[in-house]
Amino acid sequence: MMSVDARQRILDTLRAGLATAPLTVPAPPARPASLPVGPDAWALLAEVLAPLDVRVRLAKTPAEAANHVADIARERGAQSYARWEHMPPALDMDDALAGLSRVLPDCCQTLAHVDIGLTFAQAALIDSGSLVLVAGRERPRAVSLLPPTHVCLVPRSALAPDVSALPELLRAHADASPSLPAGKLPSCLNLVTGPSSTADIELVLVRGVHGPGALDIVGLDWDI
Amino acid sequence: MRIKLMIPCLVEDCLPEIGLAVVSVLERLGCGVGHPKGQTCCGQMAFKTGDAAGARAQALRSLDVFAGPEPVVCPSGSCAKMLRTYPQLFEPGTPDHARALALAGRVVEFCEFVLTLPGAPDFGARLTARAALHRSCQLDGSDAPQRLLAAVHGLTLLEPERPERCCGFGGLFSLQFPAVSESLVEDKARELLALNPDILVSAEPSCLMNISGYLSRSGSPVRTLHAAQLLDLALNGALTGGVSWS
Amino acid sequence: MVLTSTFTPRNFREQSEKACHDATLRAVLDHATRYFMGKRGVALEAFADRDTHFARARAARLTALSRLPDLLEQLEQRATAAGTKVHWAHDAAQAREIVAGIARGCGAKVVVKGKSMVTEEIALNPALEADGIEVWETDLGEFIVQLAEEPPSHIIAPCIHKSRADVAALFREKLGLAGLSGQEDLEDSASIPELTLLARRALREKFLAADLGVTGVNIAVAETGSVILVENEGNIRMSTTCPPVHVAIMSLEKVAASLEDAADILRVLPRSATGQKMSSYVSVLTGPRRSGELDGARETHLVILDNGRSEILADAVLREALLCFRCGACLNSCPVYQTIGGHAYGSVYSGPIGTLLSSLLLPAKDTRDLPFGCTLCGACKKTCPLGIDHPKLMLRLRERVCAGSPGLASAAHTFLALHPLAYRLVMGAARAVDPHLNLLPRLPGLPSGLASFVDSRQPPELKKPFTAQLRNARKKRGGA
Ligand code: SF4
Repeated sequence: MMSVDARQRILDTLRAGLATAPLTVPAPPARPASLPVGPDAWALLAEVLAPLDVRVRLAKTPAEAANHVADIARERGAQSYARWEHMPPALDMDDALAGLSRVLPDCCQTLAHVDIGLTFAQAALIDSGSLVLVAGRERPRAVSLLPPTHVCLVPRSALAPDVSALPELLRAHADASPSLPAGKLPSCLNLVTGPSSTADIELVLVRGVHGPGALDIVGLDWDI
Repeated sequence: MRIKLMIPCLVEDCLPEIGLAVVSVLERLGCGVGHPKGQTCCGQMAFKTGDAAGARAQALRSLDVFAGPEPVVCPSGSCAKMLRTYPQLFEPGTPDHARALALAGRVVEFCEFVLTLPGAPDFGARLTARAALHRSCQLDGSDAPQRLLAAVHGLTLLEPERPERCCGFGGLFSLQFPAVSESLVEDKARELLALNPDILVSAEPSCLMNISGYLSRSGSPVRTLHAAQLLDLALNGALTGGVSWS
Repeated sequence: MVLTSTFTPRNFREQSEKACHDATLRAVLDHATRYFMGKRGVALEAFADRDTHFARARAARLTALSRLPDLLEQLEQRATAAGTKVHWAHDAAQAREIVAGIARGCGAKVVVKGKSMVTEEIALNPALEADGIEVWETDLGEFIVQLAEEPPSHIIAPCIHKSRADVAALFREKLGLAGLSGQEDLEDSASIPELTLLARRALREKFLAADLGVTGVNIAVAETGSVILVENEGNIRMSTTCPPVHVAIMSLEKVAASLEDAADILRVLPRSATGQKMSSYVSVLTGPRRSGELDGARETHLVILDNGRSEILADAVLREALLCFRCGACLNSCPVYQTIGGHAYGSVYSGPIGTLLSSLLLPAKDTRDLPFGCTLCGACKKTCPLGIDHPKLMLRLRERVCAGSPGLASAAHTFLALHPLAYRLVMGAARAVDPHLNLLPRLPGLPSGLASFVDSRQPPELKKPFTAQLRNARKKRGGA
């Protein structure tokens, strides 16, 4: 087997290299403490996302959240939507979007023709404006990717300071595994920061090249 | 204060007036200037072309020439940097390495040194002119030339759009990649001339040679001076040794 | 702008000299490098605790190198436990064979690819195409250069050398597209958003039809067996979400020991690359889709590629090049790159870090000129968030090149002796460096270079030496 040989050869060369020229890593400075998530967290999130053309709407109640989602659908001229099954029971999104046809997100082919994808963030990083979406059984990856508009619900409890929260988030969603000390991480976690974008032609920014061109966030500002 | 002067070989043979201006300024500011015999090249050329053995041989020679306790003052950032690089050429723990470390600790670029003299930075120098400063990448981001020249009364110190961008000389680079080098000096000259200066000033002789060589080839009337020459002119009202390019 | 000749690192000098004379290219490069530097500068200005974050990212990369063999074994074990099949490739040919084997195994007819330098490095596309497979680059810029049959010209923006009219012409010729309104004159009418939308539609079909998605890897996490992919367009997410099989190819240094190290890298990489606080999409992928999940690859592979890198670990100076996480910042900051662009370097990697990597990874005889195409101005070192000292490595490479080629000394000696002007100019700056003139002659191209230098620059006259003038002046003063 060619590649078994390759493995041994590579590892041997690497070990010989480190033996010839040992490498010790000086201790780096401590990671700067993350800013606490305070009462201004929503405002900060909105401020970071504004230059990316992402609007954050705040809802104090499930009914307000439903109204926001309905408004977004209207503004975007949407006729159909797909959503994660995984949503808090208090949020009746199907009711909010009653005028639209709901499509089940069973594969990429069907999602390719849907106007809105609706998801529920496991976390949102204030420093960078990143939504954290953990894929899973009732949380297909493509819902936030194929439709031209992605609407994401972000509960207040999900607000986190910055990307240094990522390791814990991943571990919190891991399944126990005998061979994996940190557990088996979810198959896919996405950080979504603004709409899909490119500046490949003449460095002119265009939103929505492969993923959604529009991202709307509804902040759920109550204890869920 | 007594100092030892380190004169780059380019200055020795092609731009001696810079060296004379350095001596004039330092003496006027109260320094005793020694010019040790037997100076040649700092070894930079060998070092930069990949000849470590040649650079080491040159370094050994400099270690002898500049032995002693005095500061070694050099009107070129890149040569000063080379002298500070010597420890890298010798095995740590050897006597030569120790000597190299000691020398490295005593080497000072001209502008940096002048800024340490009593009364700095305002020595009462006066010159009414618009001077465009080329910072030179060889000074490793040092702002000593700016600080020194900003204190010259009457001088309007101007900085081009990309003050630290390389002028394209790079020693042998300019001969191996002449078109690239020329493109870079063209950019540099354009950005400097856009300031509409009377004088182009820099603390790096090799950059000066490159840029002024280009300017004079293209018929520009802008005068080119080393920081030491500008200071000499501003302190003494005359240029010791004359100008290099007119 | 159409590139006709093929570029090789062997012809680096000729190619770069030629690139200088291409006014259009110079203008495009000037615009692009300023654009990237500008965005980056603004982002770094506002980056709190920047230097600490840089230092942590460097430490994460250094840690990876310091434990590379152990971490790769751990990565293999944990990725396997998570359900990913791990492959090791000693060189490009093995890597191509592995991917071609996977493609055959799943009966792939259509392959979609995310932007990845390492797949360029191993020349994967021709190998798959030789098996009758349709291969699509899906990053917009890569897609455009693929249609044009040209190499990418920039790490971050592969087609910065193409105008919108160039792109419109390509889309019409190669894809038969006539514009959103069906007009014939796509070149005249097409706006950039329209062209982008056309590409989106064309590539959507490919994603949905693809049997296999191939991507590179930005970070592979040894602790968890995950791969992390960073992008802005969503094409990498598409390539890992829609097709049933995903192959990730990593150059072996891209490992991180822990999720924390990965997070430290993610804090810095997007800011340094594009001035974004985070790229639009970061995917952390661990194994294939789990039961009950509706999308994502059902089968995942990880190819660990060496291709010359493992040898570098024994050199304490040169291995710094393996710290690089390809943010591209040093390219944009380099005055030479700003002037000649990426193609002139003649290989996948360009600019300062490209010079180092190509010199280390390609045959020595092909890369002799590369480390000399640098003024040692240090802009790269100042820019690099990981603190890589490119000039120092460049000097080390020059040393290697010179050590490998003795001789020719007398030829140069003669040349210089016969040309006093040359002697003054070249040796005036270095006359005592090398009494036997061992050096200069080994450096190619000097005679013609000298002519061009003198053509554009008035050389200084050889004057009465400083030492003599000073002696005279002091004598006079002493006597007076
Ligand atoms: S070497 Fe260049 S591309 Fe690599 S990390 Fe440093 S600046 Fe970025």
